Amino acid sequence: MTGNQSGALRILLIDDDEAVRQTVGMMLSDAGYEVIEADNGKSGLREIESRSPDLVISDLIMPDMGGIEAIQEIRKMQPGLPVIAISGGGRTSNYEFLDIAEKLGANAILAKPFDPEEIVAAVERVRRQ
Amino acid sequence: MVLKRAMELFGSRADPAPAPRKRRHADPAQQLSGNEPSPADPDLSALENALTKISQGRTELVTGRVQLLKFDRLRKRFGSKWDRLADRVLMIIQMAIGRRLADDDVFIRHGDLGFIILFASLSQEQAELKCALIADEVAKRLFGSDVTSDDFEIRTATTTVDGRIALQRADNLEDLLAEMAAQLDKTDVEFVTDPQTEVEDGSGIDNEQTEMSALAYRERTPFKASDLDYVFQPVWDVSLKALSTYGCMPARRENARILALGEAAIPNDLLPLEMLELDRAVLRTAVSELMLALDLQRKCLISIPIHYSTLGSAQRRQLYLSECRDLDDSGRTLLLFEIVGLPDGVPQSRLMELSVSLRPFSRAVLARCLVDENDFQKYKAAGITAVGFDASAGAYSEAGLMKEMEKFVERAEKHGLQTYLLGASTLSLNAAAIATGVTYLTGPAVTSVTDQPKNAVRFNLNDLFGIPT
Repeated sequence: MTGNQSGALRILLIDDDEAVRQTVGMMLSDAGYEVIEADNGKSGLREIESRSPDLVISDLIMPDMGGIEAIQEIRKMQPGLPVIAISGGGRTSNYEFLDIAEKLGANAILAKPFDPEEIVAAVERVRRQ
Repeated sequence: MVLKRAMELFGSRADPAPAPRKRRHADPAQQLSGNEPSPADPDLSALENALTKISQGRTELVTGRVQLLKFDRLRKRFGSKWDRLADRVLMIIQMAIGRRLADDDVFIRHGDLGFIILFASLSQEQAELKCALIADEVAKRLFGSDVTSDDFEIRTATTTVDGRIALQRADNLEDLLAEMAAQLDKTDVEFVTDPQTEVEDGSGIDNEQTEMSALAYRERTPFKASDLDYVFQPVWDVSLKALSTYGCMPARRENARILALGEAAIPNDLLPLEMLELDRAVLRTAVSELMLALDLQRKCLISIPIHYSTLGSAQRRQLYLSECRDLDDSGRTLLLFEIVGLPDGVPQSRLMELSVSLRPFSRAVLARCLVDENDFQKYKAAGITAVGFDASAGAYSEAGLMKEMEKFVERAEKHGLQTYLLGASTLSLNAAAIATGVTYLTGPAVTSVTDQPKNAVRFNLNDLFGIPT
């Protein structure tokens, strides 16, 4: 992963929860990354085509295409694009969804709620892979 | 103005309404001359003047075609309850009228409980008879009894000698009602329910079977259960990770393709007896398949929808449940009933009555609600096991539905109820349902319908997303 023209890694953050996008987006920006956002899997795929992110962080439970389907499509479009799956906004345990995401090739999984350092650490880990 | 526009449309037709024939008992003294205004009713006079003006000399467009149907006398029968029930009564009347009209017919409200109806293609006699049928349906729905001339008034547009329109009272109402009764093929079965219940919960009663054989000019083809197919949709028990229940439902098919499933397959103008026929057809299909499954030692449960309009009448409910009597105890423990079409705000006592009637024949009783239902205490108290909603039925976006679903599940679980979701056609909605804690899922995105229930099989998230193991 080499980053875009400015040198900063471009991360696409896909989550239907605006509060999550703001909080996680701020954490990543503070860590020196360029962040672009999408609020569901469909618009996320459009951003991948038009903005060529270097890494994708995707929630799994979203309307109008969730993260599992989005990861399946990403693996067809750009098999090598790193993906971090995040989940945990529902009332029940979402570890089963995270397991599925891993099976589909997510490079890392993270259960919500997580500390700011955890998401930044996950990005660093995936960059080094 | 609606009346004026309707006149324009009628004016464009080649033929005027058939000329009215003389009434059998017409009293010549009652015929209006040009010098006799309609007595003692300024509203009526104003309407007559308006009709005269609109017809613009072409009174043949109006004569016989325009009927004024008045229900103002009903107010007295309700007495002090009128204020509380007025809106519902008005709804019942308007529905009864709407059901009887052909595409080209028009009706508008006149005053509190008056309705001006323009019949495009009927003779005066036919129009009057149709008005009498409307009044009869309203009386049955409201009071559980046949209509009498005390309940309503029909006035027919006629032309006076000086070319004015007059709304003449149909003075042969008793003959009209007798003629209607003679035309109807009465059966031995009388469907009577508590009139107060009819108005409050809107279920109504109709002697529909008697009407089905009457009236050459009826505008709809009666529904037959054989018009539809009956299929089984697998239901996923999310916590057990198994497809172990099959929901029997009607379907409209063309060749091998399913065009509509479940409630979407059912015509939306079914009369209560037709709905009973449909519900019985679903039940017969399910019971037959259940008995076959028992013989073949297949392990599965079968759930069937039953409409509130079938359950709401004691007679219809009895006819329905008679289909279950052949099912022995082992069969009954594999059957689930789902009550569909519950009216908004259904009282707990009513819910309990319906649930209690079904429980002896089933493993559990479920109830389909709207996603914004918030009184789950009464469902639990009535012995309902699970509550669910149809994702395809509302006007929410998927994002909105997900939010509502989370609240629905939380409210239901607080009262110890399981939950189910039908009709979700996307993986994202199903995933959200699982994350929210919905117990059972069924719909096209889970798996396809089958013609027969099958043995229970394992089904997990990998299967939902089509991921090979």
